[in-house]
Amino acid sequence: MKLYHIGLKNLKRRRVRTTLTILGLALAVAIEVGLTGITKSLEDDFSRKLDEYGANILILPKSDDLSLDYGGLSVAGVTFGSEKLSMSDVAKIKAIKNSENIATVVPQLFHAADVNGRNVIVSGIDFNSEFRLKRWWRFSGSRPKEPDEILAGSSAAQALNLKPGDDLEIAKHHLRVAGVLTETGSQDDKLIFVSLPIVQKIFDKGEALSMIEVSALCYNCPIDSIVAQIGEKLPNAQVTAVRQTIETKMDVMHRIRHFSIILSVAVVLFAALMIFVNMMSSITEREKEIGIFRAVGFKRKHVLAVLLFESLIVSLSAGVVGYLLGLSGAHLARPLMGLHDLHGFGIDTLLISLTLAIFVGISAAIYPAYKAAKLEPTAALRAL
Amino acid sequence: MSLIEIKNVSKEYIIGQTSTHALRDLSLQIDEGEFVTVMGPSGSGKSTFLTIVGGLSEPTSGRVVIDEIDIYSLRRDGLSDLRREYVGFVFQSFNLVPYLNVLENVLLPLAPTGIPAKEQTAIAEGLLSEVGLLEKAEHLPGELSGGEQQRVAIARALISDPLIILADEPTGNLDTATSESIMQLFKLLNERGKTILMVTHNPVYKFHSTRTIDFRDGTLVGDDMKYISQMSADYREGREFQQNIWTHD
Ligand SMILES: Nc1ncnc2c1ncn2[C@@H]1O[C@H](COP(=O)(O)OP(=O)(O)O)[C@@H](O)[C@H]1O
Ligand SMILES: [Mg+2]
Repeated sequence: MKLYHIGLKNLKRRRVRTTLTILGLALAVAIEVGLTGITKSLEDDFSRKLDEYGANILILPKSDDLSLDYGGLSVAGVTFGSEKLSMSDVAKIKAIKNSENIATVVPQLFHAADVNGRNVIVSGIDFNSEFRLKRWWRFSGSRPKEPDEILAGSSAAQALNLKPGDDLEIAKHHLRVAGVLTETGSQDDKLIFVSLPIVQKIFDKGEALSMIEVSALCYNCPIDSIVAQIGEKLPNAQVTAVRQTIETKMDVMHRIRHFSIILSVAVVLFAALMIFVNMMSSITEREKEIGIFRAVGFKRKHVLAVLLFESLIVSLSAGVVGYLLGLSGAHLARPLMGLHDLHGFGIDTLLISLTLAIFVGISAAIYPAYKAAKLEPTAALRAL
Repeated sequence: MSLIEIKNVSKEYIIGQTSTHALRDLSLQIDEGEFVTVMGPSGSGKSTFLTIVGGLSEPTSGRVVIDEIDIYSLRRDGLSDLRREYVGFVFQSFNLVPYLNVLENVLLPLAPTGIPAKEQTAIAEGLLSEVGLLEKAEHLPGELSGGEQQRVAIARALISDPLIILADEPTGNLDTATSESIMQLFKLLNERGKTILMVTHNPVYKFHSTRTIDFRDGTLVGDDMKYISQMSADYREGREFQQNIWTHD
């Protein structure tokens, strides 16, 4: 027989108490793990969705007379300004230090055109990137697939009387309306969207661009530093972070994270207290037994070893059970949180659960165990 | 040199404002192979005496020398080793660990040692068969009778083959017939060379022993080795004796 046999046997005898202690600590671990996992998933989900909220960095040519109001349509000014941006800048943006934070880069070229006798602005875009960036876009008809297919903003379509399937002529080039956007309430309503190479070709603009929209996954990345990095690569451009929406959303995320940290700490402290109280009372109950151990030749460290081994087993079990509980809890909560998938439940989280449980379990047990080991054997034997 | 030498031992318990002199300047020598019956009224210091001899409780003053080792000069861990190597305790309330089975209870003193499991089990099984409990090795103490539990406790006291057995009212919780068989066991152990110190209230049992010492208020008031030995011999041989002179209470 070894010392650990004694610990195991005792845990087995006090099955109910052992189970309750494991569950109590496991619950704390589960809450910690579950909250951390959900927060992490929310963060990931949020940063993944950031590009759905549209561009968060705008790159425009530097120009003194330019006043840009992306909400309104003063971009017209840009269109006729000197196009200092070009396709080569897109590659430069993708090569910045924080490039892994960049989700989408959408180059655009605006040009005024006469269509059916009316002045409209044609926006040359890459449809794939644009649809990725503007997930809120809804349209009638279909998505442009061929190079000569276009998408018309709602008010532009109204003004020009365009429907899906209509033909139109821009700068003597024959194009076809694939779809008409439903109203977005933004400047997009007034634009005609045409594939970027076509716009560059029909207006003879070569590689020129009017604007580059960048969507950076910036939940945790320093957007200012990304702006600075792009600014360095493109000295002739004016790089602006479209800040507000992101910051309020990030602020909410930070609050959620802080809340979950505070809650976890409280629950973990509570569990530690529970284990401490439980251990203290169990040591009073076990005084006699500890006296027996000492009488038959156990040293203090042997008593300590038996008691701490018991705590270790309880903690390890609580770590595993807590991890599983936290994982299942997070899965149950997932639909409520509107999350598609969960992150933060890998092997590293299991290790964190175990570490947390052991840390809490052992640190709550160490004083009671030490106190027990210090009991005078005779006093302990007289206890009963 | 005696196996056990108790030199001017006093023990004072202090609880709050009150102090109890459980032992007062006690000096005594016990040779290897003696079977000492410890008698005296309740509260006279008998248990205190045993725990001090057994290295469980340090005297307030004085020395205890066992096998030429001044035991309370040992470091705490050394005292634990001494308890395991030299002393086996048997208590009135058996003091078995309720969640360990019979075999494990017997093995308890060996748990902190590095003795291989097979060897441990072989020794314990040998002892269990001697006390007639081998078939109950897997039982829990709660499933045994009082006499059986005390046999387990005796087997446990013997597991590290100690020189000394200290028994504090080992038959105090047992009926007469069971007590007698436990006494026979102690007698057998003594005949095999174990030095035994046994507290008992039953004056009859001293006739199994070679010496009786008698406590009153923490001092020794009687230590009649030869006479007891003689009477013990008489008892063994069925001669008449006068019980009343040995009765204190
Ligand atoms: N651990 C202790 N703390 C305080 N007083 C004690 C303790 N152990 C024994 N005593 C006191 O010391 C005296 C002797 O006790 P004890 O040795 O148990 O006597 P006995 O075994 O002869 O009945 C008693 O008055 C008892 O109350
Ligand atoms: Mg007593």
